[in-house]
Amino acid sequence: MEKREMIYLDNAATSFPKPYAVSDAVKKYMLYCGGNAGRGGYESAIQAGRLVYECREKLSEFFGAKSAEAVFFTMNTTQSINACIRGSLKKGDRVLISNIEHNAVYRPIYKLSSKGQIDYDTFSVIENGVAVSQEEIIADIEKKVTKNTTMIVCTAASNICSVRTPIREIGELCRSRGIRFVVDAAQAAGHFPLSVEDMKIDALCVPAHKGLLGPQGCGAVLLGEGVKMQTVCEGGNGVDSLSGEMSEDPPERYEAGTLPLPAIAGFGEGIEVVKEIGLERIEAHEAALFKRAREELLNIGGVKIFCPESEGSVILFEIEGKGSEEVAAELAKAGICVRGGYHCAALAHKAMGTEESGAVRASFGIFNKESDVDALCDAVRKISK
Amino acid sequence: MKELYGMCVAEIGSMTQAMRAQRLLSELAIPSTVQKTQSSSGRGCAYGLYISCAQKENAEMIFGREGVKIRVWKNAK
Repeated sequence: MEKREMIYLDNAATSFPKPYAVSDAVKKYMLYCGGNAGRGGYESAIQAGRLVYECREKLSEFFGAKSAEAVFFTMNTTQSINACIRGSLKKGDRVLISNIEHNAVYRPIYKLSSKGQIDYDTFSVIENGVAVSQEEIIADIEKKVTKNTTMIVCTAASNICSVRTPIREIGELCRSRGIRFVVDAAQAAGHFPLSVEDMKIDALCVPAHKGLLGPQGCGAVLLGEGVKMQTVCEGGNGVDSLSGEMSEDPPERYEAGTLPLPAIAGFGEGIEVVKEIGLERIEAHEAALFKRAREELLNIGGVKIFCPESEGSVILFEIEGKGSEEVAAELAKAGICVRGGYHCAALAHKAMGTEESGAVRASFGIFNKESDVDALCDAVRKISK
Repeated sequence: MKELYGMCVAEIGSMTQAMRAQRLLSELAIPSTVQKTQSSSGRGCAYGLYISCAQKENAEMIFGREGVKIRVWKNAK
């Protein structure tokens, strides 16, 4: 692939660039190990098993889970969420989701609901384009919980703007009512702290390739203590191989088929890089870039920023009279990578009031600089004229 | 296998449990190795955690405390 200059502001889709340590770990696994974890008994297979276990340990420590066994791998966050939703719900259950969920949450819930298997409702995190207070969010949930409510699925941070949800408070509420709490941390993991045990999360779904700086092709679920689910995919996992049933114990219970070992190698290194930089520093850096972008964009006539008061790694805007895809295409011509449209977030765009034309999302990462923000704003200024 | 003389083997049902067991032992500076082994339970794949038999009691204690599932202890041949 040809190398060209670009300003990458689509870190909410996937982070770029990846740290050298990450690509090096992937390469090393592929060149010098290559074994399949939990299968053979030769040295490279045992090495692969160790690599997988060490990545489980790193995830468990980073996200405050009880143990490495609480971590199972998937291909991405969407698979993680699907495993938790489909593996937990039964006929007649009621689920609450926020009104800013990504389609990774909305679509499986919608499908189960449309087949008459479950019932669901939404609670408001954004209303008419304005972020709702934490107290109002909790009050709305309290109001909508019924005796049949068995699960709340909620994103920790929106994928279209920097609005966050009060995960700790929702976790408390769920624990006190015996409701399973599933958290989509696609836009939160590696951006700000989350803790499975402290926040009373039953299942935390994370990607390798976004804030945790790893490769695509791997996600994980971190289970709360004692959480057990049905399997949604069955097959070989190197445990109890003579049985027709999947093995009982996590994590292998939820891991049918060969794991994405190169990606897991990189995932582990990505976590190490994030730890070395420090979550506080990452959060502060991204918020500083957000504030700079907000300040500059607000000074450009015809530019509207959505939920500007919520500071984080994602800024959503539109230019009056121009479609979001048109703006994104113009920015691409200037070498600036952002995403227009709907960001696989039907509910969130409805709540934001942008379901007609979508909006433009710029999302920052730890490797972005102030000059990247300035380049974005200069280009937007030119496009808006 | 001369180096396995006086070695005991804990048969464990999964790679994750075997790695966990090895990690727990390493924290106590007890050396161990993991090898795939013939299952004696009839349940399929198994991993053998090889340690000096002199450390077997310590290992049993720590595994019991930490909930590591050992299918069976054997002497290494």
